[in-house]
Amino acid sequence: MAQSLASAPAFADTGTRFVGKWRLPVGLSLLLWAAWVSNVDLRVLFSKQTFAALFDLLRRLFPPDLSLPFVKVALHATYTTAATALIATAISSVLALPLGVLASGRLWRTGMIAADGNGRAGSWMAPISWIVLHFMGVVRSVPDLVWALLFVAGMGLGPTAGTLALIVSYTALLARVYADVFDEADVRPLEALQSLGATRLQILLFGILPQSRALLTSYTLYSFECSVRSAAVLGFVGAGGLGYEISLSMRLFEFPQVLTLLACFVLLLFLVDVLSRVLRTKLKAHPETSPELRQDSAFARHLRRRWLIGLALTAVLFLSLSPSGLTRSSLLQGDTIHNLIRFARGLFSPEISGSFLKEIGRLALQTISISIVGTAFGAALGLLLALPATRFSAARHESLDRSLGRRLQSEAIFWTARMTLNILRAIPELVWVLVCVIAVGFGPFAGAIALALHTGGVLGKLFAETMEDSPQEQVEAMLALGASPLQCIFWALLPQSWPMMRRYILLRWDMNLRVATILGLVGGGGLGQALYNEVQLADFGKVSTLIAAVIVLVIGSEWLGQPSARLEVQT
Amino acid sequence: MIYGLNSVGKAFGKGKHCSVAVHNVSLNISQGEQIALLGPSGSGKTTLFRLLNGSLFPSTGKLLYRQTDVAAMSHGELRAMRRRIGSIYQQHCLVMNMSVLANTLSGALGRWGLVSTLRNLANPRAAEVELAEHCLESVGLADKRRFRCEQLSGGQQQRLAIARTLMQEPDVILADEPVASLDPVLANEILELLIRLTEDAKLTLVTSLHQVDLALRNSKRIVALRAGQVAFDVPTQELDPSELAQLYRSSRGQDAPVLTSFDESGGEPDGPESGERACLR
Repeated sequence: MAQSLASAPAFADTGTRFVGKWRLPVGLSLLLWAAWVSNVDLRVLFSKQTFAALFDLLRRLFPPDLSLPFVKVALHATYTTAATALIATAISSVLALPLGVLASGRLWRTGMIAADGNGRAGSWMAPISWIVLHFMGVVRSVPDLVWALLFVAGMGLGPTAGTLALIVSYTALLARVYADVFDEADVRPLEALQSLGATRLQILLFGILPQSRALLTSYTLYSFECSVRSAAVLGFVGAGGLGYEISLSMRLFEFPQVLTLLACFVLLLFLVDVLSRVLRTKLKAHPETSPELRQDSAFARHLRRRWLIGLALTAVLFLSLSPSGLTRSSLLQGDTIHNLIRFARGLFSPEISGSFLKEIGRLALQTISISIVGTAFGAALGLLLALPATRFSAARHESLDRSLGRRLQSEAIFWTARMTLNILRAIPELVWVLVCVIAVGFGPFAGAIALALHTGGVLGKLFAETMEDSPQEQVEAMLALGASPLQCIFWALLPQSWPMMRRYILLRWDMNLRVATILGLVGGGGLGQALYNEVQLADFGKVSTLIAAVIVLVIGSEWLGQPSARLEVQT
Repeated sequence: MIYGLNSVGKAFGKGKHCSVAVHNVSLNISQGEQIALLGPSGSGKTTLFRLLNGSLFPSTGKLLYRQTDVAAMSHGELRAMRRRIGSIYQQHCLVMNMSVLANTLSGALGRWGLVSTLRNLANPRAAEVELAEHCLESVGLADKRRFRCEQLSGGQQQRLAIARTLMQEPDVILADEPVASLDPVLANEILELLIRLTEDAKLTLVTSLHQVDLALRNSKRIVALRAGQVAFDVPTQELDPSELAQLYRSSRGQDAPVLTSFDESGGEPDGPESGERACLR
């Protein structure tokens, strides 16, 4: 045994084992530390008072306010939110595509394709590419809610500030995602293209883009779903739409109105989910993957349908321009530019007194631990819910649950799990914070629980989708050898999807760290509370320092996260 | 007798998009037989395999496994049947980022309850590991047990697939073009291994092949499919070479249907089953 391992050192698993051995205890102690710093107290969480408070809240939500004038207000807010998200995603995906190409490491910085010859490792564009990548990182590290806070301070209340905030943060996010997708394309066909004399542009068009197409659309659709959620939440700081109405009704203690607005929000998310699901399957259809498209007539129909989707999308985008606040009059109001300049000047004279920095340090640690606890609990919750929410592509295997009783039973479990995931995911973190504050009181614990609930929903859905999208041949083979669907999940789907799922968890942690900085805006602890206070007091010097702290925190996490992500991929 | 097929047909889709993959196939397969399944691409070999291993159910006709109608089996009986049928595919049937040992162990899933399923994932029982190592040894992969599946070559992966099937302790091994993606030398090696192992344990072996010479050399009975129907079914030594040539030639012809489409079949079917049945008529 030992001899055979020694004879194949490259394949021996001893090297990877070492990492595996330390990962668990290190992770656990980090989690314990984080739980301690963010005041996690499971006794409080499961105490009688908590449940009583939650029950009381639930009672006061009902019945929802369905009076005609208010329903009108709610629908208008929903419309504004949807339009904002749509416009912002459309503009950011267009802006992000060239930026993503520029930021791609494979095209400009490392490897065969980037090399210009003359013995250099990358092309002459390498520094520009590097700068784009990292500038996007800095922009991305400021939460969209903070961007909105700043835009609202600069341009006043209303959807325009929200749309601009979303455009800024989603452009940066998508540029990074696109660059990653480009870099993950299979390199062999690209090198083949290069060796037959293709230019970099040709490699991009004929090698990278065709390979990335599915992932690009998938991520863009996903980011649209996210941006709907963000667009609603931005209202919490005054950027219009559903969030604005929710925070208004909460402040007025009009809980029935809150329920109506939340229902509108959930409905909107449901519609977006259905829409993106439909688009996903329509866009996924391709002659190579669906045999029925090999017929000419079917293919022509398919192309026609695609054109129609494109036309409809353009029309909807055009209609969304005005409610999203992107009109000439709102962008070029008399004092907007003046305000922005005054505000920017304040930002460039940061407050750096020792006591303030010390306070920032304490808050930063608290923010980090909130994000760790929230992500870890959320991932566990998500996995638990993803198992019953995963649907097998039963079309390939006819024998799954043939009896009606079994089918109904599994349908019921499936839909319950999916609905739970959707509700957890649909309700934004900030609303969860408001709920958790009622249950366990102000502070980081409420923030961590809120984060875990929302993260559970997000990750659970992603986990289920990843397992559904992973190759199904193995599952078929296992079913054919007499395994049950549950066994297939544990022995095929979960191991196959785990690398992807791990990436989602790390990605989500990265996002959660950003979210943890804003949970404080509504009482969830961390840096957010201070940020909100200083913006209200118009002390832009302190605001500037706090934003710098947020940037340092998030970029620091990326530095820490990157090597571990690389390790994860390797092992 | 292991299998009895009585004018079995299988169609996919319904109405306009209906296509017939297997049509009116009658066969008997007895314990210990070694059968090669020949036929051009798209002649319904894979569909027939998936019918035999219980992944699909016939739209028409009867498929008996050990004298029991597959369509009438309960959920538990079906799983019990699948447990006894080992399937080997062309490729892509192993979990790439699991170890060779874990992939082998997964052959025993049909015997495990939920507790063993989870326990063996983290820390497999010694008895199971011993059995798996024995299976790996018999396909010559004992020294690779700690490797990840993706680190194996194509031939080694196919050996692993055989080991997983042995782990099932099957009565029947169905191999659907098991050597299609291998070079001739490796292909021969793998087939000989399959035959040696099945002969040792007196198992039934059904292999579909593209390579006619391999089929002739390695099996005792030839079943040929063309356009979803049995073209001929003879012992290998009685095979008429001209018939064999005809089998492949006709599929190259212009109007030879590979998957017969029934575009003109009208009428609204009231369910997938009856739809499939309607388009087989």
